[in-house]
Amino acid sequence: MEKPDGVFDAPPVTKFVNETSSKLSAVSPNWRCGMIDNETLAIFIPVNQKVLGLSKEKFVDLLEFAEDKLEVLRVLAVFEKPDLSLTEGFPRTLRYVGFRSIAPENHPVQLPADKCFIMCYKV
Amino acid sequence: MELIGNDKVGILSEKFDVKQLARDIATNKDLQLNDSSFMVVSIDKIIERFQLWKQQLPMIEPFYAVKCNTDPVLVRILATLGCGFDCASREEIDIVMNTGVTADRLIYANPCKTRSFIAHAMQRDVRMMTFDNAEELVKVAKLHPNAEMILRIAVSDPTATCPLNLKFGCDPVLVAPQLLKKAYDEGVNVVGISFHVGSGCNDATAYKVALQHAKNLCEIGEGFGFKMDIIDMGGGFPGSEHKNSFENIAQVIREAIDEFFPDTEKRLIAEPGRFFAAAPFSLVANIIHATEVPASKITKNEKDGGDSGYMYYINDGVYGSFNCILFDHVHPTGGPLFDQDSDQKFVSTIWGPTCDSLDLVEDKKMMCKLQVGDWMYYPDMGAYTIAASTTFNGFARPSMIYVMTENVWNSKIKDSRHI
Repeated sequence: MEKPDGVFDAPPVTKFVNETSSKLSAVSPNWRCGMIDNETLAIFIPVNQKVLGLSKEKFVDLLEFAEDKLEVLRVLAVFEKPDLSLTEGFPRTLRYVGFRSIAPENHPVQLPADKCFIMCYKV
Repeated sequence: MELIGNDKVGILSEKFDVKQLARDIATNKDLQLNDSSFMVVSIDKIIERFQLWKQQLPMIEPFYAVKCNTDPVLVRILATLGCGFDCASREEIDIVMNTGVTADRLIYANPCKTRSFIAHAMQRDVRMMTFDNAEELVKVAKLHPNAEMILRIAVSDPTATCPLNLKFGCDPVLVAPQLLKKAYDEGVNVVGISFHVGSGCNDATAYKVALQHAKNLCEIGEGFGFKMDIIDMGGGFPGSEHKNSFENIAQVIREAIDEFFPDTEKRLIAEPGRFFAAAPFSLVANIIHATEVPASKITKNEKDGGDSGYMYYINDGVYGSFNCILFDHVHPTGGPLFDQDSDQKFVSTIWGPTCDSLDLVEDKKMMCKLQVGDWMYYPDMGAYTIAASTTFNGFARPSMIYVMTENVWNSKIKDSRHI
C-alpha cells in the first residue's frame, strides 16, 4: 500500500496542488495527503506524531482550505496501524477536535483496515 | 409507553432493576431468535445524577458536554431538568436546539473553530464561545459580532487521567492578558474565564491555582471594560465509581470557590459529560462465536499451556459501543447477563465482531464458560460510546430501550416543552 517515498497509495490532489501542499506542510512537513474521491481528502499522519508542537491555527487553516477551496465533505486522518497508540498518541487529540474513528468495513478500498486506522472529520 | 421526541419510552409502575430488566428483554429476544445488541437506558438514573450534582455543587450550573453522548432522549431529559449544553460542533448545536433549548443555554467550545463553525453559531445566535488564540478572535470579530467569548486558560494537574489542557488553553500568565487586550482591540466582547483541570482531578491545588488565575484575569479583563461574570470550571467529573469520588471532588471545588470567589455574583458553570451520561446506559451484547484455546495463548505464559482458555466474539466492539476503549483510559468490565451453573472460571478474552486487531473489548478476564448465544452485560456504558446517528463512521448502533418509573414521568417529565 505504501509507495517507496512514504506516501500512501491514494490518488494525488489534482486541484490547488501547490496551495494544498503548502497548507499541509505548514502544519507538518512530515504529513502527506491524497484525494480518495472528489469529496474526501485523506491526510496521512506518521504514527509517532507528537501531540505537542503543532500549530492549532495552521491545522484549522488546513481544515478551512479543505472546506472552502477543495470543497470536500470530509477529511480523513490516516495512520498506519503497527505501533499506533490511540490512548496516548495523536488520534486522541484529533478526537477532541471532532474527528471520529471509522469502522473497518467503511474504509475506502485504497486504505484497508488491516493496514491503517482512519478517523473522519465532517466538514 | 410514552414518547420522548421520536423515541418510545417504557413507563414502569414501580422502581426497577436495570439488570433484571435486561434479562427479561434478552429472554424475550431469545424467543424471537433475535441476538442484536441493545442498551437499557434508565431515565431515572439521569435524574438521579442531576440531583446529585445539585446537591453537591448547587452554586455551579452544569452545561452538559454533548460530545460525550448525543443521545436525543438524554439531551431532552437534561434540557427538561434545566441543564445548559456545551457543544463542540455544528451538529451538536442543532441536536440540542432541535429539542427546544434556546441559544442562551449553549456554549460553543470546540478548540479548533473553522470559519463555517463560527458562522453557524452566529446563524443560530449561539453567543457564548470559548477561545484561546488570537486568530480565532480575529475570525470572531469578522463573523460573529454578538459573540460573548470565554477565554480558556491551561492549567495542569499531574494526577488527572488525561490532561486536556496540554493541547487546549493558553498560558494564563504569558498569553492570556495579551489575548484580553487583543479582544479589546478587535472589539470582541469577553465575558469570562474557562479552564479544565483534567479528568478525575481531586487535587485541590489544581483548582486553587486555576481559580487564582481566573480571578486575576477577571480583574485584567474588567480593566478593559469587560464584564467578566462567568467562571467555567470545565469537565472531568467521574461518571460512576472512581478512585476519587464525585463527592470528594465537589468538596475540593466548594472549598476552592470559598477561598477565591466567596459570595460571588459571577455565574459559576462547569461542563460535565460522563458525570451525567455514563451510568444511565447499560449495554447487553450477544456472544456470536466462541473458541476454546490453550490458556497460554491468552496469557502469553507457556506455563499455562495445559489449561483451557476461551476467546469470545460479541456483536458490539470498539468500532461500536466500546469506542471509549480506543481513546479513553476506560476499560469496561462486563459479565454474563444470567447467573451460570458452574463457578469454575477460565481465562478469557472478549473480542468485538470485526476481526480487526484493535477490536479487543476485554483481555485476560477470568470468567465462567459461556456459549454462543449467551448474553454479556456491561453497566456504565453511556460515555463516549454512542456516535451520533448522523456521523459518518459506519458504526452499527445497538437498539435503545428507554425506561423510567411512572412517578418520575408524571412529576418531572411529561409536561416539559423539551419532550
